[in-house]
Amino acid sequence: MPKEKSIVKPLLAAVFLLILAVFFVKTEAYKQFGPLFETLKRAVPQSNSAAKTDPAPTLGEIEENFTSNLWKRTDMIDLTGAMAKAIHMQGYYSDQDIFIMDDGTILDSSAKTTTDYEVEQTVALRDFLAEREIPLLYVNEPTKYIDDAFFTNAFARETWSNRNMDKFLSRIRQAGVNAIDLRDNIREENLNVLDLFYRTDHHWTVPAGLWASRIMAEGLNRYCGYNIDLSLFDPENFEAKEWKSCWLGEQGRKAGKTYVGLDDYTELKPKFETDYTFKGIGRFYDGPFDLFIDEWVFDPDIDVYENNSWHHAYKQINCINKNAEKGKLLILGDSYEAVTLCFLSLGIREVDSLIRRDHDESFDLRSYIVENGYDAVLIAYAQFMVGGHDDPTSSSYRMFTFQN
Amino acid sequence: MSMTSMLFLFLFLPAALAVYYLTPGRAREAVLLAVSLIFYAFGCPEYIFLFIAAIAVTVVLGRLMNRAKTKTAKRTFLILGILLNAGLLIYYKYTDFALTTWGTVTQTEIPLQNLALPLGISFFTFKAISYLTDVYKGTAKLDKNPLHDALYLSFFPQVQSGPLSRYNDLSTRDAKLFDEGVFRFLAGFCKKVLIADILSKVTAEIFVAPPESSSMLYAWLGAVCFSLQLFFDFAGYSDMAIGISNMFGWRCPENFDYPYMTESVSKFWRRWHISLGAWFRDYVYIPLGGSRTKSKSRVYFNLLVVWLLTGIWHGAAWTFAVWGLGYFAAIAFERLTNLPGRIRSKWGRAVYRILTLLFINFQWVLFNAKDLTSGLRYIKQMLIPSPNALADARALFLLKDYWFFILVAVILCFPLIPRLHQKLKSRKTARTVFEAALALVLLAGFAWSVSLVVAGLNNPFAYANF
Repeated sequence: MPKEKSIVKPLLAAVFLLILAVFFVKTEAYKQFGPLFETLKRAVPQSNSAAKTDPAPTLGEIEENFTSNLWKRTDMIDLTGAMAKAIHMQGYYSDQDIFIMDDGTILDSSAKTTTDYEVEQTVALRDFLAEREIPLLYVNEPTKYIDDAFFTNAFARETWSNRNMDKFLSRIRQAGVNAIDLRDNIREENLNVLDLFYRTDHHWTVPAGLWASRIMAEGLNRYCGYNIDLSLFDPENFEAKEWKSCWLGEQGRKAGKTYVGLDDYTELKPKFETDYTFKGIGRFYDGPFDLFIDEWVFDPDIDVYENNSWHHAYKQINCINKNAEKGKLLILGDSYEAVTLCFLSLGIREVDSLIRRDHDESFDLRSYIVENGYDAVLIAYAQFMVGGHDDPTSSSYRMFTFQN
Repeated sequence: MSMTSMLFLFLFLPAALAVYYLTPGRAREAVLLAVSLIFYAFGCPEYIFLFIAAIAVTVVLGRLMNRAKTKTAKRTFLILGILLNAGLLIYYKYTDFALTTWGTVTQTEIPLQNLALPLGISFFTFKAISYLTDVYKGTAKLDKNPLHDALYLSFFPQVQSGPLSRYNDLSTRDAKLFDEGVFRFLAGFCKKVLIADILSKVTAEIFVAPPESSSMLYAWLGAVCFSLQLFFDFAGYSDMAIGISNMFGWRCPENFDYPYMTESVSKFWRRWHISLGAWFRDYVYIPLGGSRTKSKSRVYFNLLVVWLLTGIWHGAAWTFAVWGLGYFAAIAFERLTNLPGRIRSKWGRAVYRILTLLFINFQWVLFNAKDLTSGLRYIKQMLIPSPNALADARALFLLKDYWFFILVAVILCFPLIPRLHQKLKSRKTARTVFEAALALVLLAGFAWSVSLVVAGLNNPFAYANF
């Protein structure tokens, strides 16, 4: 290095200090001193064990909270996304199971599973229900590819999503469980499965939910003795409102809007008159189908990283359709049901849904079914739920726990 | 608390700098000691009192040794200090290793202690031994204030993973180092987050893949990426540690000198983790007699001891012992045959360099393997073709995805930037433009790195486990 003093390094140092100072102030970093020292006080070994019983955030939680409230955080996520896009890194977020196609569509993968637990639990539930003459129907909700080779060709990585499901369906059908595989309908109708899903989210769209509801209703008629008017689900009976490039899905928020772009959204409401009683927590309330939808979510002016997921604008709420005469259905579902329960309920008197992961091991599903007098049970799961029980840390771990 | 965490960057570091520079005169050392202990407490709260006790005992013994009149008394304090510090290291780091080995030998099931490793204990122990030995030899110029000794042992930028500075490195403060410190810190931050962490995604995938899902190309990609990842991880950390030390006005020894430019295996360890190599040279190899003994076999025995210790210092597992012995074998071979020195032709030297890099690469595979069997299996995968179209396709996909970072990493393995800077030495304007461009690139890299950490792609330092 030359002995003559350069002006560049002092300038760089000044800029660096300025950056530290601005972030320190703008993020209100000084507010973290209190929680940090409280955590430290609890973490170091001490004789006063009573002090440890009070909850204090861990250093990891403080770190996470601090980082998620960092000044300009979303701009930084966008910067990462923009750079990843510029270098065309499709597997950049593969450690979070996010794989990005050329058009920004996000796919994910599934590990191989035996399907043993899922088959055993499903068949046992069917047997339990059969003894009480309650029919069971299983509906497989697809993921964004209906052939594993599609994913493997795109990312040179193995996935077992469809093969797991083929195996599972074949085994439960062999055991006499009635099952509908929506992938068959996609093939029969020659649909592009990607058109049924958001690009930046793992959920299917509202129109896809309506499409699936018709097939589910058909299945309920065929296997569960229902008599639902299938014309209720004709798209022309619905008023559509469309937004272009308006929201960012759950996976898209990780990758950044600069990488995957924003998603379109379509809201559907029946054109015909509806009359419901909604079973809210602690109170019932009456109203039309519109009350399924939290329309305040549809505000393109809200920061896409901060806004609620538009998919969940459709509430998955137990309801009584006062215009329908028959049926009391329990849907054992997942978040895909946000946009199937509402449409399906148009042809059924009473529809409740239960997401198994929201209840712990002590929850007695079988008593719940009997006590509530359901006349049919529909299991409708996204196909990546199969295999969830292989990982005790997975949020899907209990989805197939039906033994109680 | 990782040095690439946002809490460190935007809370701890600015607060520490502000408190330090707002404190007058000699009180600054006390402040910096307190800051260092707080840093340790955040990183390893369960052992903070043990850490303070180890520092206190070491400093008291060092001071007593310095005052002792007789050689016997000095030696007693030295031995006591080394035994205490080494005892802590052996207890916390090697108890389970010893129990497992004993259980395997005697074919009995021995319950393990499952002791958590105190943060940076391997580095702390070596610094403590170096401090005590230098005081014993009289080479350490002890400060009047014993807090200075405690600060040397606990100085927060170096406590986690070095560099293994010597007591005298912390003897004089130089406020002019601040600018250089910022430069080094930024460079280190970018190396760690932008290169090491990103390449770790490739290695994390490939090294856990079962053999049947691998291929020669896939295995080679993983091995090369790991060699680059480890270098940029540790060199990045060292740059940050040096940079932060400089920001507080303290000097810190260099730890890396473009190691993959090495001409031989022996010279590699003069370029890689330099402070560790120097420590083993000064505190193990030379006290054992070094190369100056009359007996040739004694020299090789000394080398064997050094490399065995180097291996197990890196980890309490047989893979690390074998890894260390691998270096002993290669260095002993080079010493015995003087092969690198005997090769005269340019091409011959180039071939030897390539062979050296290949050897180092295989060594890193062992280093990263969860056990010896899987390490050897991985090396077999690299050497024996096993057709697997999907693994080959995946390797090409990863290359397509990560080519930019691999390319930058390879380029930065060569001293292009310092050489260009040196060339522009006499041309003031061109040099300033070059430096300004470099500063802008660093700032842009820093912004990108921070954004990557925020986006949740940060990993803890690979070297923090030692």
